[in-house]
Amino acid sequence: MKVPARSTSASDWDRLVAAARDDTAPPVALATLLRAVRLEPYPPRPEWVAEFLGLFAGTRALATCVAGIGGFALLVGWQAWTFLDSLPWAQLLDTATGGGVS
Amino acid sequence: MAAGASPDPDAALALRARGGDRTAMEELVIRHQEAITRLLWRFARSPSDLEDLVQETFLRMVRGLPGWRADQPFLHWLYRIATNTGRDYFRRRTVRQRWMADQPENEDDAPLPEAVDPAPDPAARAAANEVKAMLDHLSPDDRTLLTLHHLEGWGLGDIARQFGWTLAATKIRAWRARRQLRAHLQSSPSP
Repeated sequence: MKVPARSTSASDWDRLVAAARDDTAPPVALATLLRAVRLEPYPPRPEWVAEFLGLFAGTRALATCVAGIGGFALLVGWQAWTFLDSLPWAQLLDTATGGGVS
Repeated sequence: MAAGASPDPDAALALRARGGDRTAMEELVIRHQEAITRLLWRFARSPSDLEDLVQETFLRMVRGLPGWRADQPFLHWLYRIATNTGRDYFRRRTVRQRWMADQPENEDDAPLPEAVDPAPDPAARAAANEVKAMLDHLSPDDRTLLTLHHLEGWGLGDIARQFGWTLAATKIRAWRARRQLRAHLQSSPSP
C-alpha cells in the first residue's frame, strides 16, 4: 500500500505526503471570479425539461432503459395475445406463404 | 468529503440560482470558493493554474445549474464538477507533455519563485511540489485517484462514487497506480 519516496523508505513517503497535506492554497481573486460568474450566460431551461433529462442521467440510465424495454415487450406481448385470439393466424400465414405451411 | 446526511444547507440558495438568480449564484461562489480552491490546489501546479481551475469550476457550475436536481446535496454536486475539472486539467497536461516531450524543460511545470508565490509554509510547499511531480508520471485518472486519496485524504469509496467507478475497480486502479509509481521512483535517479 505504501509508496517509497525516491531512494528512501515507505515511512519517508508517508512523511512527505503528510507534509504536503499541510500546504495551504494561495488565495484566488474573488472579485475576478465573481465578475466571470456574472458575465457567464445562464442557459434558461424549463423545469420539466431538466426533470425529464434527469431521468437519463448517470445511474438512472440503465434502469430507464430496462423499464422502457420491459414496457415495450409488455405492450407487444399483450397485442400479440389479443390478435392471437381474434384473428385466424394460421390461415393468414397459409395465404401469405402460398399454402406452404399447411 | 464534506456534507453529510443532514438537510442540504445550500438547497434554498441553489434552487434560487437554478431559477436564474444571479445574486444566489454569487452567494454560492462566495460560500464555497475557499473549499473549492483548497481542493483544486491539490491538482494545480501553479497559482495561475489554480485561478483558471477555480474559475472553470464555477463557470461549469453556472452552466450546469439547470441540470442540478434538488435530491442531491449541492456541495457533492459542486465537488463532482471540481474533481472533473481537475481531472481534465491532468488530461490537458498529459497531452501537452507528450507534445513537448522534445523540449528540455517545461517552464509551466516549475513552481513560481518564492518572491512571486510566498508560501506560508515553504517546507510544506516544497513537499507538495515534490509529491505532485512524482504523481505527474501517472495517467490522468490514476493521478486524480492518488491526488484525492493521498493529498486530500479521501477514501477509495468516496472516490469511486465521485467518478461512477465500482469500488473493486477503484481498489485495483489504486493498487496499479501505486505499483507504477513505485517502479518509476526506483528507476529514477536520486535528486
